[in-house]
Amino acid sequence: MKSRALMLLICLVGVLSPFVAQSIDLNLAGTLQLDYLFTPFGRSDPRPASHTLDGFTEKLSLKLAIDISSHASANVKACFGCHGFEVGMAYVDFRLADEFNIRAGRFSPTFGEFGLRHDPGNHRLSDKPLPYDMGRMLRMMEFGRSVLPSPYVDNGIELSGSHFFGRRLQLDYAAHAVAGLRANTDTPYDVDFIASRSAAPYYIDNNSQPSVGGRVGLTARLADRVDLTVGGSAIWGAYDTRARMTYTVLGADLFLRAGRTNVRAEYLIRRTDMYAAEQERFEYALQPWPTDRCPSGSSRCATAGTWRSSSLCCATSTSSCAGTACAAAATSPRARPSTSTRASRAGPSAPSTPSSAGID
Amino acid sequence: MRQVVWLVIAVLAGCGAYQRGEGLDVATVPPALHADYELFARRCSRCHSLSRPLNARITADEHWAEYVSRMRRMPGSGISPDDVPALLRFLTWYSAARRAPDGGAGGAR
Repeated sequence: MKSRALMLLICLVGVLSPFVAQSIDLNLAGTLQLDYLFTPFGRSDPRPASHTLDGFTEKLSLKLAIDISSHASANVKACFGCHGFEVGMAYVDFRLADEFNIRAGRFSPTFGEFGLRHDPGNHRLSDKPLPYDMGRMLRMMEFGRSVLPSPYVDNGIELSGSHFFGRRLQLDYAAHAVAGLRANTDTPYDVDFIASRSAAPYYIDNNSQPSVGGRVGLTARLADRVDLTVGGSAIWGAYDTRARMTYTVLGADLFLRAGRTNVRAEYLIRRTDMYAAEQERFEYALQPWPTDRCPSGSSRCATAGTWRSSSLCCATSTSSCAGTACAAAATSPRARPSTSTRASRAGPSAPSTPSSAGID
Repeated sequence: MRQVVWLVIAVLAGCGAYQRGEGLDVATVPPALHADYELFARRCSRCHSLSRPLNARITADEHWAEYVSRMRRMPGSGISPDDVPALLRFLTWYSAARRAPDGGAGGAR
């Protein structure tokens, strides 16, 4: 009873708070981007259809920004693009101070520098930097090669803030907990970016374990018309349905602005645990886990085919192994010659490490 | 070689379009607000084109204050609290000028 009365009191204070707006200000904005990719092949040459996604692509976004008061605002954005309709923003911001803002809802978790201006209206080029690109890759069917496809939209909560030290130095931080990237299986080979952004079956987490991350950035005004921003970002989470396979994304960004010249550079790296029992799925043979990396008294092993340091050492060499696939993964890597030209794979062992840098 | 020439022409044309497509003609801004406009152009074009704030259907001064405050808190905005009065001076003038019967001075290109 007491708790209900307390909740009622909190609600009343919230409703009657001086933070409540005298009026609600709305601002509607939108962008439309239409690209045509021309491939110089003749009609008799079938290569365009097998090499590229040529022709028109379109991205439309409509955003409604609502300033409820100087301490509260909300944003809703609907997008239409290659994946159909998507809710890019549906969140509320509560600001207690410049240094402490709470964001809840569906939003793009703060990561890197490009995320702020991923909307086509905010970047000058027709496509995104390769580490963030989604569907407009160099060749057809090379989806999922980017490190963190943008826009990365997810459900969750984010704390952020900004503080100025005089007029010349600005420090930003953001920390978030969101549902995280997904693969709708417990034996994934990589993050499934289509499942991660899909409303099917639901816009809910697939493993009940939030992904966490954030960014810290420092902006310095070096001269009247020269600014420099450096930042570091990270995201960590589990992506399979049993929350055993994890991914870690790290990023560093730099933005130098001198007069009308902008130089932006970002470096991203992602390490992803992979289900490694079926080695034929990989273009490189997997190496056995080095025995000398197991704790004293244990030996190399594998559990249920996973390829993770934490599951590869056990008290006896076979006690936790289940099935021939596991044994094969642990002891007899296939020496399959690789004919691939894929350069973004980490090499002969999992986890994989796609990494990339971009300058525009 | 011909492809390189076409590429250079395309890049230069793009740069020219970019130069012409941003912001206001400074001559249409009152001299007293030139410095404010320069600050506005420098700060707000960091993340998005100037047409975004210039085309925003905002008329109330309080709304501009909230809008600028929200933008100021964006990571790396570079808009310090000391910059806000100058930005609001320009935006409130621009907003009023747009509502003027003759369409006001300047116009978002």
